[in-house]
Amino acid sequence: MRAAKSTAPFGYALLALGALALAAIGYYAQTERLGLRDATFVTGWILLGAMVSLGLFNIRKRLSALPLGRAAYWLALHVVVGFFAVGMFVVHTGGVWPTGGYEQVLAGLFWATALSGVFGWLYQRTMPKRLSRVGYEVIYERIPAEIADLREAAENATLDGVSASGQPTLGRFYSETAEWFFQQPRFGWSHILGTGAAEQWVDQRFKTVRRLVGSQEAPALDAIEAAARQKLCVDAHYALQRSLKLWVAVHVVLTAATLSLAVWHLILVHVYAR
Amino acid sequence: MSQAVLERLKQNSVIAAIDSSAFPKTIPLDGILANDTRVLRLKAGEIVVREGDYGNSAFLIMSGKVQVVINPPLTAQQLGRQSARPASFGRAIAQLWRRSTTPETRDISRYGALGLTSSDKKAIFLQDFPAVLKGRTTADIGAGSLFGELAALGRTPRAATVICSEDAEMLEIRWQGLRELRRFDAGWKRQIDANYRNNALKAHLQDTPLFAGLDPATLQKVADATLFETYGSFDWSSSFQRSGAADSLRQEPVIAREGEYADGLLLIRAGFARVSVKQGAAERTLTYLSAGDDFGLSELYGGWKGGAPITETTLRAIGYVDALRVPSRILEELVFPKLTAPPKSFLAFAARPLAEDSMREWEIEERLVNGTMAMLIDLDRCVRCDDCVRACASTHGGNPRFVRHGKTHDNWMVANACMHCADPVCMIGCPTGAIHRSEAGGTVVINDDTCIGCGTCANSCPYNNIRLVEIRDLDGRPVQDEITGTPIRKATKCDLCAGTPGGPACVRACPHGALSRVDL
Repeated sequence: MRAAKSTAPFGYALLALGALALAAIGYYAQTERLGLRDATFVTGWILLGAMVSLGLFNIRKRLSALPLGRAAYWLALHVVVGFFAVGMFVVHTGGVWPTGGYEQVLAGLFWATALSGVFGWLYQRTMPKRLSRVGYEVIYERIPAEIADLREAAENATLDGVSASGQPTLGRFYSETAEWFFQQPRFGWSHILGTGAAEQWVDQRFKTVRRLVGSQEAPALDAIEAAARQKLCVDAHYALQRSLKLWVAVHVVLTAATLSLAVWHLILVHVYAR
Repeated sequence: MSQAVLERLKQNSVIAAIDSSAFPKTIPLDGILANDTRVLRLKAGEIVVREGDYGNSAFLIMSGKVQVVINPPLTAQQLGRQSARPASFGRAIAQLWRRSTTPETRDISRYGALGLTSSDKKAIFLQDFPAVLKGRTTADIGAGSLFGELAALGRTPRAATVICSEDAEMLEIRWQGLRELRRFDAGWKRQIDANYRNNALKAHLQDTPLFAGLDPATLQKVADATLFETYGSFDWSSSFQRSGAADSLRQEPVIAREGEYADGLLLIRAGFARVSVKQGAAERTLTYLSAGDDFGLSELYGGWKGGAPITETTLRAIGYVDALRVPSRILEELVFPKLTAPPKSFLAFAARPLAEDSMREWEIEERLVNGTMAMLIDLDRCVRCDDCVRACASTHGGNPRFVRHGKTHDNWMVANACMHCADPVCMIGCPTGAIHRSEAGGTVVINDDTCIGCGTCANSCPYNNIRLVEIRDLDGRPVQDEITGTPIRKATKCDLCAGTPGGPACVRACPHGALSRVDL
């Protein structure tokens, strides 16, 4: 099968360029510092420029009708400029943590944004593989409807089992245990961390109740278990897709907060520099 | 068809000349006429078939005359098609303001100009056709003539546009009926074969690398000896939609069987065929063939060199196959002496590890090989962000033209987006020719202005990639049929972002390089 053209060569070229630029600016800042001159205005403006340009990726995503090049190249640029901004931050502040109270809040937000970016970059490279290994695909917005369908199938199977056998076992099992599971997505952290707790929960509950059902109820229990196993897949998609969406939201909010504080920092610095 | 119409039809000299006794009791001539034909009454100026359209029927002129437009062809606008718009950055920017919060809004004033807000308007007329045809080379054909049979049987685009030059009555014959008439009536077989031999065969042979170097006289000899064969069902898409891909290999008609005597070279003219070989208790798919490919050459060559001309692999029709069979004696006499190297055998594919078959097998089982621009998503890279869907929507007035869901195999998904098929079954039977191949690049597109929302294309698409939507006017009000009061629908699908520079927006929008459009 043929995948889309890789952006890796472009990314490596950009990375090399970014590293060179950072080295040059670092050398310049150090030279200025040794000459008892202040390079922070220059490095601050470069840092702010880098931070603003990082936001362009989001704008590119919103203008997808325009022929502005492949978003994959923009992402590569975003990642490289992100690493460049981290380097620029160190050059600008002369370390990783400033001294002033306001600056510390700003630095905290900056590092949170940067770390969320690195985390997201790695997360987006690993989670799709986890999702495709679920062996089932569902559109995120369809998940509530999928769960409702599975719940209905499980409830119908329970009613069928009870009416076929005249025994209350399946009814009790559903109302005491399975109903909770079919109500909504469950075991989110288990699916995200891959602990297998969700699968174990289903295995144990069905193994326990299977000892108590007769041959007339067995087909109904099979149907409930099939619905439960299908729901494990749906839950896994819900947890992983939701985490992927949540990460983007967190990163965007942190970016907006950092940029806002950075602009205010810039105004203050220029006001008090006079 | 009523008995009275059938009786009147049998008075027609062409139909009367058919020997009904040659037809088996299970497929009587009357049955074919009653079930596979209909009488059409067309008015002067009405377009009967459009050049480039796909059709599944032929036409026998019972009365009146038609004109075949030979050169230059009619323009896209004259044929009721969408003119190909050049890609423009300005148009892409304008899209940003054209988005509507109400889905599927249209400026319906343009439909009024075409008179297409009513479901009873299905024909396209050429206004003032004598003036339009002036300066064009045309051919008149009259009562008793048959046309459209080559496109109908060969599943190829109509070669020319045909217009009624006066009020005419025609017998439209579905491909099924046409196939039986050719099969059981010597006269019809002779005429259809002669038409094909005269009009299309030599051109096809010349396009085949094996015969490309032959002089005209030798090529004529090859053409004279070539046999025409069709396998499978023309409307394979409906049975595929019903039964899916389950156990499809066993249901595919065998064209040539492994171990049998090879008596001729098969040239695929239209459709797809599967090459398989016995492997243990089952059959292993080696590859597939499409239009322009050949089968059996290595075996025939081996036979000519003194070996046994035994077919090494099995060839099956995937859906529908239109093939030519060139007898082995012709090859031995005219072609093999000029071959410099022995042809390759399909068995070479069998050297590939068994585990590598699954993807190819899946593509064939699901008929995905039909796609020339399928939307392929690498699920190992896709973060399910739907940026592709949003990009599609923003390029189409806020309405996405595909669903990011579809058939999956391993980590690959072929999403429900138009694949712009090599064999576009969706184009067969469109009453207004609204769905057509664009002049630029051959993309399958729908002209929204002439689509009447009949759903023929959506029902025919075996991949469910065409959707009918209920349209609204610019104020957001549902648009209704003037006569029936039912909502007006339009067929919609991926058009590969025609008119937008930079190619499909979905591909450009994917930040992870997970989405690509590929010729499967």
